[in-house]
Amino acid sequence: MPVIVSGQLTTSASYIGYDSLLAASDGTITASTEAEGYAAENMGDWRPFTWWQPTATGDSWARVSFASARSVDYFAVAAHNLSSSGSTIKLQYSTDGGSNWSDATAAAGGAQDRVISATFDAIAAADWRVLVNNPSTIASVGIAAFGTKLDLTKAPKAGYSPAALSRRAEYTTNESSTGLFLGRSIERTGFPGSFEVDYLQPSWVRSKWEPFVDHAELRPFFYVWDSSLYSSEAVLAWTNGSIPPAQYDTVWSMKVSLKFNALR
Amino acid sequence: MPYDSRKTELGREPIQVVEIDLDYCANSFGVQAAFEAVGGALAFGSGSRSLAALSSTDVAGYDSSAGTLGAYRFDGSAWAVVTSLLAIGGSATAASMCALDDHTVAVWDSATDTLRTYETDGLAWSAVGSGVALGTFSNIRMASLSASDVAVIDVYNRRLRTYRFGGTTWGAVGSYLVLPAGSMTVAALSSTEVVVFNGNAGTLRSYAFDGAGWAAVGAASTVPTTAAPAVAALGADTLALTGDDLDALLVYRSDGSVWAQSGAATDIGAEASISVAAMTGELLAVSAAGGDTIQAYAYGSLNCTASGTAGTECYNTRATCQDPANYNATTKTYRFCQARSNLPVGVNMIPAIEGSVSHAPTSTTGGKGLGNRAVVKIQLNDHAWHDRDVDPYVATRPYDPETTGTYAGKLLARNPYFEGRELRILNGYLDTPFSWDNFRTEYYDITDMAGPTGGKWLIQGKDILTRTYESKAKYPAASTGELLADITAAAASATLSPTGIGDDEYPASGVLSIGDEVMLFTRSGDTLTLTERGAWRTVADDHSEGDTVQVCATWDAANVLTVLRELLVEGAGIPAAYIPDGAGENWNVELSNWLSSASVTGILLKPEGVESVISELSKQFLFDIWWSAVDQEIRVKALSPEPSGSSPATLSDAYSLLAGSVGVRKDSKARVSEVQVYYGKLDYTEKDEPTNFKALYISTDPNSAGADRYGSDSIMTIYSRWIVLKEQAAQLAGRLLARFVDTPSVVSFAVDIKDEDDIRLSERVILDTAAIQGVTGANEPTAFQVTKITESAIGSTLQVEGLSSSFSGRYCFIAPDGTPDYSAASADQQAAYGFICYDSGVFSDGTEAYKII
Repeated sequence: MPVIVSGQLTTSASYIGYDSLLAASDGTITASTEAEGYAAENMGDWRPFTWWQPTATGDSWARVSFASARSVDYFAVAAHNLSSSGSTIKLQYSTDGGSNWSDATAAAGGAQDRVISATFDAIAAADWRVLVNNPSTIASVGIAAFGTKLDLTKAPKAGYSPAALSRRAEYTTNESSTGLFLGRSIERTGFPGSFEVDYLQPSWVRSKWEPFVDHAELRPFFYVWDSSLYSSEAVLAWTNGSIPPAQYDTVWSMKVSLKFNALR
Repeated sequence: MPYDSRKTELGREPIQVVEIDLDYCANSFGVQAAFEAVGGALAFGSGSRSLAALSSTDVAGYDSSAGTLGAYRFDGSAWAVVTSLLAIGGSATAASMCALDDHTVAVWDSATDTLRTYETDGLAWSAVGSGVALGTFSNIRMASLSASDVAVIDVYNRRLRTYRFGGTTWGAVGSYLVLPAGSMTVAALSSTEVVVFNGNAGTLRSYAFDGAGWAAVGAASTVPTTAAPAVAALGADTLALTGDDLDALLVYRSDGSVWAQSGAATDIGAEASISVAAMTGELLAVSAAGGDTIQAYAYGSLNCTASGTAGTECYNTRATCQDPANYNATTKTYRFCQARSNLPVGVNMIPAIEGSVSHAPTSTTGGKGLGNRAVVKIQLNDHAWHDRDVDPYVATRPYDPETTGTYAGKLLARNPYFEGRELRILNGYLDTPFSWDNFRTEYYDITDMAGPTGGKWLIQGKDILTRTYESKAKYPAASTGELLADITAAAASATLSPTGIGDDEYPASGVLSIGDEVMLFTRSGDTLTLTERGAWRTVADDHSEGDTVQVCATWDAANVLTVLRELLVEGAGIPAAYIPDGAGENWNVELSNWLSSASVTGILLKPEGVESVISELSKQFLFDIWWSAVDQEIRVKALSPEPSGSSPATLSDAYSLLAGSVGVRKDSKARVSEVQVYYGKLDYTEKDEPTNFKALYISTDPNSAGADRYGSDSIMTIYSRWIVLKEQAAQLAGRLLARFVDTPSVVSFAVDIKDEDDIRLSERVILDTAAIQGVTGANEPTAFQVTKITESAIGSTLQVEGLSSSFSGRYCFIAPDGTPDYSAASADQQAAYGFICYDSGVFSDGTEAYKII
């Protein structure tokens, strides 16, 4: 359990995953199989409504190859049905052009088809692949991202509500003329969230945060508020308004904040 | 959980999905098709042979070396002999055969020089009638023109001639035509046209038969030369041809004047004495000496001759097609949905719908003409798109589609031809597991797609009945033929111009109009025989060269639903499948119960808007018509009282009617105290006005207009050009008066989706609500005819409008034979059937008498 010291969670296991080698313009993507309309590239387009879907049970892979080694230290998957399909997914890499593959992560299915996330010590390789094992039912994977994570260096400020626990639902309720409950339907659900991180190095804000802002203005990202204890509460998030500017909270430190909607 | 049991929407999350089907080409850019061998081969023949297609699976095969005839069947994977072999001649060096129908062939072989008919019962073959010698022992080629006629080429004598089988004997018909020399074969393109493949000359040329002789049509087209040609017609403009030294199957298409190769050649190996027969337009049976087998070849549908560098391909849409002649039309479905955080994984749909689908539903009028057509509008958010699954050649484009343009901008540019294409609205729930079974689909025509503007774009659809709009459909279709020369008022014939227009546009007989005169006619070619001048009470008159000769639509005592069907199907081009007139279906039920005596007599002299004619019929024969978007049916409902024994659902304040939703008002303009029906139109060329009708029928209720009641008359006047019988006019007036003699109430209310099954457009429901009270202040349950249903909150709430059903009294059906007297009849029988009561106007149990309407 994190310990609160001076209003700040001591854990520094918060990170944002937005670097995605599957979205890199210089990578070459291939796949063992692809169903029509379910290209492997869809995993890298940050759209949670387009999918990669292989056509065969057993092991299937989607590979991205580069001319030179790329460093990866996180892997996250969203908008999938691996768990309900009884399937698993893991990230592998090859340093010999694809002849031999090593696991970067353990195989995981993700409880209730929620976001899967994993971190590991940085690995450099030119060939990476997502390996899905579909024992019987073929699963679809909407977003799979791996690359270099953005460590937030500080945890969110106290009072933070994990987005994965912040379910919001809007309802329509019908009552009869005499007041009897007749029916209710859900109009929409979602997982809104926000965080604020302060006491950040100004140089970090300029070199790390600003590139992320460039990405977040256009595309979703993974937010893992505590990868050490609550990696299962990772979410795929997208901003729902302008990203507030970073502010100096002391003469030597800055703070950043973000509001977003998410799916878990 | 099926969608139609939405009584359990509790806790479910509704979602709307929109699908549009836009044109799409099934071909691949620059990929040309060829035949491919399918299934296995079967040993057949040992020398010369001939095949003739009997059906899509069967061919007759004549092995002239063995002199045997048999039938062979291809099941998609293998051939099998399905009849015993009949020995019909000696060993011959040449043979020819064609099929007269699915069990009869005409066969000629050089051993006997006899053309003879054979038929099979599916088990064996037998000769029919006698044969005829064709006078050559060299080579004959034949193609079937009809079930009795064949086109015969005597190759040695170069003669093309028609032979006819009269049931017992064969005989020549008309004269023969001498053809250019060469090794020839022939295929029939129609009942009067053949194409001759001259192998030595390397030409294809069409010939037409006019009943007396053959004549060349157009010029010859160049094809590869071959010593022993073989050809089969795949369609009226498509041929498959081959020959001894071609070693390939080639497809040739005609643009009407020139034959040209289409697609790639199919290697069939070094074969000789080849015979081909087209079982369908895309399936050939081929047999040849060499392999001595029979083999099926299927023709691929992909055939694009466009050429271009990578990146310049089309987008497989008609507007971007670079080979329109081979555009292979099919459709591609684009699917959009409302944005939700829990969209089903693996279901391709773009969450671009902003808000919900705007839906102005169809409405009915209670027999006062066509109501409103349903209109749906979908506003969508535009966005960047990678073009995967949209542009089949995205990988070769020289631009990055993700950063070039937007989804809607590109879609609309590539698909400008969207009008009339299918639009589907799917209302359902995001259940787990997701299933399309939880959705109910509504069908519309796309009427507009616009944008992108301000990051949005729009799709609009309307119901199928918009195809009847005057701008889209007129009936009868405008005729374009003109008089070739002046005719007098007494002329008994006329000639149409331009040449050939007769067969193109005019029936063999019927009714036509020239100016204000109607005539009955029969037709042969462009020549009209005018069998009656001044028909339909018009006056025979002189007419001039160039006057338009218009085909008329007429009905003489036709049932109104027959007329309606004709207007919809032939006038508006609506598929007959949308009309539920089968046994037990909507149209049939309404016909049996209420519209069997609705008789239409009249004429449409000139093209008129289909919608306006239908609206007239709706008002004068008292029925509603609407598009049921869910059932994909055009439904009708006669204006009628609720028959005794029926039990509309009751919706109450306590269990159904939503709080604050019930509103009731009186529609005083709809009240009628007297109905005047003018019928029996005198001059169809003049306007509908009182002096142009032979009779007037009046039905009135003077009491309703009395000072102690409504205090004034409200007269409805109808001019009917379709009613000629007094009984029909009386029925119209009586029903209208019974329906509207009391000022009808208009009600609006809302219910939870759980009550959806109880509310059907144009059907009745009973409202039990404090908004409608009796004189004591108690609720007075009242029947309303539903005129409009709007799903105001998708998957949750229905907004309903209705018109009070003011047929007073109880109505019934005629009782079947054997029904007992009223006092002995069961409650169900009393409820359903009519009985004669005492003079007092009540039955022995005090209940009121039945009414006849």
